[in-house]
Amino acid sequence: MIGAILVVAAAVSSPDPGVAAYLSAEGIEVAKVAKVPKRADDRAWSHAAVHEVLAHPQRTMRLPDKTANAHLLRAPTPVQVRALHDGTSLSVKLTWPDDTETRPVADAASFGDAAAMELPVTFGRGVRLPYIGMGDAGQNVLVYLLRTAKDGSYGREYTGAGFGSLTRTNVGGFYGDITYSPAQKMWQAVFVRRLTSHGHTIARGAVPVAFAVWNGALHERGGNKALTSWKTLHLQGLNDDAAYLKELSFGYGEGEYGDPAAGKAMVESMCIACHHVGDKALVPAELAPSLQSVGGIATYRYLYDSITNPNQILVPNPNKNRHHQVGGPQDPYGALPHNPGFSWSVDMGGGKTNSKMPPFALPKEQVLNMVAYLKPRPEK
Amino acid sequence: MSTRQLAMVMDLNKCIGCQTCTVSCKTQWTNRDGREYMYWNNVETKPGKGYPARWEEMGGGFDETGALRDGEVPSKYTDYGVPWDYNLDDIMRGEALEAQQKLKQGPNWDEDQGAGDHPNSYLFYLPRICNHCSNPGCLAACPRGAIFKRDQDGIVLVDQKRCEGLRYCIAGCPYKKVYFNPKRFKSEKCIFCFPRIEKGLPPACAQQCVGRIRFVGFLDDVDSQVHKLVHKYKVALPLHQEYGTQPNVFYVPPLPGPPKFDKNGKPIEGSERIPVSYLEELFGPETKNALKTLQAEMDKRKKTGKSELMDLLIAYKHEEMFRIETPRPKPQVAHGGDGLVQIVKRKVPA
Repeated sequence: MIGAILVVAAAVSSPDPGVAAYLSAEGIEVAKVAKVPKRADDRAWSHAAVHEVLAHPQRTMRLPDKTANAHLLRAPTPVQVRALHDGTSLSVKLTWPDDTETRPVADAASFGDAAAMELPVTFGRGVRLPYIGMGDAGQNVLVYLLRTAKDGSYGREYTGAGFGSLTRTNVGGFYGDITYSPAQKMWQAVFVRRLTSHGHTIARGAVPVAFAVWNGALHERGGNKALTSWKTLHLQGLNDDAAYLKELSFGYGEGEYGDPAAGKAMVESMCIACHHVGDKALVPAELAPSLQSVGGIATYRYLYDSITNPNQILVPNPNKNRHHQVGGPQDPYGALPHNPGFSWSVDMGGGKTNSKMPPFALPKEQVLNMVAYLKPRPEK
Repeated sequence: MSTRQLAMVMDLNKCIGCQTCTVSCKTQWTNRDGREYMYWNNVETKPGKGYPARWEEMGGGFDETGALRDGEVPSKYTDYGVPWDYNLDDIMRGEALEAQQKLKQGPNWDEDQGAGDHPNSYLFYLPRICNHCSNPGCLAACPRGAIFKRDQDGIVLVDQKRCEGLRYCIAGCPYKKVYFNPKRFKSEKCIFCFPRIEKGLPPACAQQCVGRIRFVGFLDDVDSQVHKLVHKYKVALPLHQEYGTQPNVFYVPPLPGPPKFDKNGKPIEGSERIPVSYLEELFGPETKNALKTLQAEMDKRKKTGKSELMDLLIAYKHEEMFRIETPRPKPQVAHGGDGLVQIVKRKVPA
C-alpha cells in the first residue's frame, strides 16, 4: 500500500508523462532513511516501496545441462524489490518464492539457491546500457552475487564484459546476506552497497539495476537462472537528471509504443529466419540469440536499436566450440573447426566486429510495432 | 586444436583388472582435499554400468550436426558412490566385518558381473582415464572458457583460476571424466600426469601397470608405439567415437575369446563368447577389421615366428612402451574459443 502511494507520488511530481509511466512500471522508488537496514527483517523496510519485477528463465543462449534445461519453459519468478538509501549506502532487498531451501552439500549434483544484483560500471546521460547478460565489450557491468552455503551465505563481486567474462573484482563497500523463511517459503536477499566505493559511484537519482535469482533444486547455476531486464533505482533526494530519465524511459513516451498485433506478422516473418521466437523455430537453436524470453529481459531501447542498428550492441558470442563444422577440415588429430554459422558476429578486420544481423531500415512505426510484439505490456 | 597430441593405447587383451593403475593415480592425485570420491583412472567391468554408474546414458558430446548435446551431472549418492570405511577396530574384538554405512553405489560396483549365462558368460575390463579429446566436450561446455588444450601435447586441463565450479563441463563430457571438488568448489580431472610428462616420464597409471597394457607417445611420431597401433596397424580404436569428441585414448579390443559351449558342454566352433556386435557398440565399425588384423598377426607369428605387431603388444621391455620426448613447457592461458575470454580490467568512471 505504502509502495503504491510512493509510486503515485513520484509519478505526480514528474513533469514528463512518459517518465512517470516508466517509473511506475519499471522504476524502484528508493526512499531516504536515517540508516539503511542490513538485515531482511529490519523494521526500516516498512519505509520502502514494494515493486514487483519478473525474473525470466535465461534462454538467450543455451547451456548444456539436461536437468536445468528441463525447466526453461517455466513461468517467470515474481521478485519483490524494496530499496532504501541513507546518503551513504544503498540497501536493496529482494523477496521471492521458492518451495525449497536448497543449500549446497558436498556433491557434484548439488547446487545452492542464489541471487545477484547487476549495476552498470558507467551510466548516465548519453551512455547506453550494457547488454543485460553480463554486459558487453563496450559497456561493462558490476555483479554482486549472494550464494547460499551449507550454513549462511557468502558474497562475491565480479566485473563482466559479456557471457563467460565474469572476473572477480573488489570494488568494495559491499555487504550482503540471503536468508530463507520456511514459513513463507520465501528467500530474502539484502544487498548493501556504499553509494561511492573506490571511485565507482551510484550516488545519483537514477541508477540502472537488474536482478537474477537461481533455484538450486532445478540445478540452476551460472547462465541457467532467472533474470530481469534493466530497471531503474530512483533515489530520493539525489539528482535524477531528467534527460537521463527520459532516455531510460524510451518506450513509455508518446508515440514510442507500437501495436503488438501489427508487429506479430513482421516478427514472425522476418526475425524467425535466424531467431527462435516464442515457441516457433525454423532454424537450429543458437544460430542467433534466442528471442524466446527477450521481452522479459530487454528494454524497449535495446530492442529498437537491435533492429535498426545491430552493431551498436553486440551480444557476446558464447563458447564457439559448442558447434563444430561437421565435414570441415580436420587437424591431424581430428579436431574440427567451429561452425561459422553459429557465430553471432563477423570479424571485419582492424579490430572491428560487426553483428551478423543486418540493420533493418524500416519505418519507425513498423519497428515500434515489432518491439511492442516482442515486449508487450503488461509484462508476463 | 593442438600442435602435437599425446595419446595412450590400452591393450584390453592384457588387462587383468588388478586396479594397480587406479591405486597409483589415487595415491598420486586424488586421496585428499575433496578428491576422495574421485577416480581419475578407474577400471570397470564390461558389460556393466561402469563408473559413474550408467555414464554412457548421461549425454554430453556432440550430435550428428556437430552441436554440443545436453548432459547430466552425476551424483555421489546415486552414481559415484560415497567413500566408506569398515569397522576395522571392531573386528579385532571378534565382530563381523561391516561397512560403516549402508552401501548403495561405488566405483566398480558391478565388478566381474559381465553378461551372459553360465557357461557362456563373459566380461572384460575397461580402464578409463580422461580421453584428452581433440574436440573436448568439456571445453565446449565451459561457459567461462576455463578449459584448454595444451598446444605442445594436447593435454586437456582446467584453468583453476577461471573455474567457478559451475560444472557444465561435467554435463558436456560424454565420458564423465571431469569431477567436481566440493571442498575447493572447482572442477578437476585427469591431467595425464603432465608434471611427469614434462620430465619425460609416462603417467603414473601407465608406469605402474603390471599387465603392461598401456603405451604412451605422440601420434605424429611415426616411430611411436601409439602411432603404429593406431595408424599403421589400425588395431587401437577410440571408445564411443560416436560421441563426436575424437578421443586420444585408444583401445586394442578384446578378442572374442574361447568358443561358447552347447547344451552338452561341447565347444561351438566359430562362436563368439564376447559378441562382436557388443564390441562394435564400444569401439565402432572398425572393430571387425582390428580383430581380423590381430588374429592374422597371431597366426603369422605362429607360422613364421615374426610379427612386429605381436612384438609391440607383448612389450618385452616396459620402458619401450613409452616414447615421450620432453616437450618444452610453455606458459599458456585458457583460450576456450576465439575471443571468448576477456580478462576484464577494472573500469571505473573518473
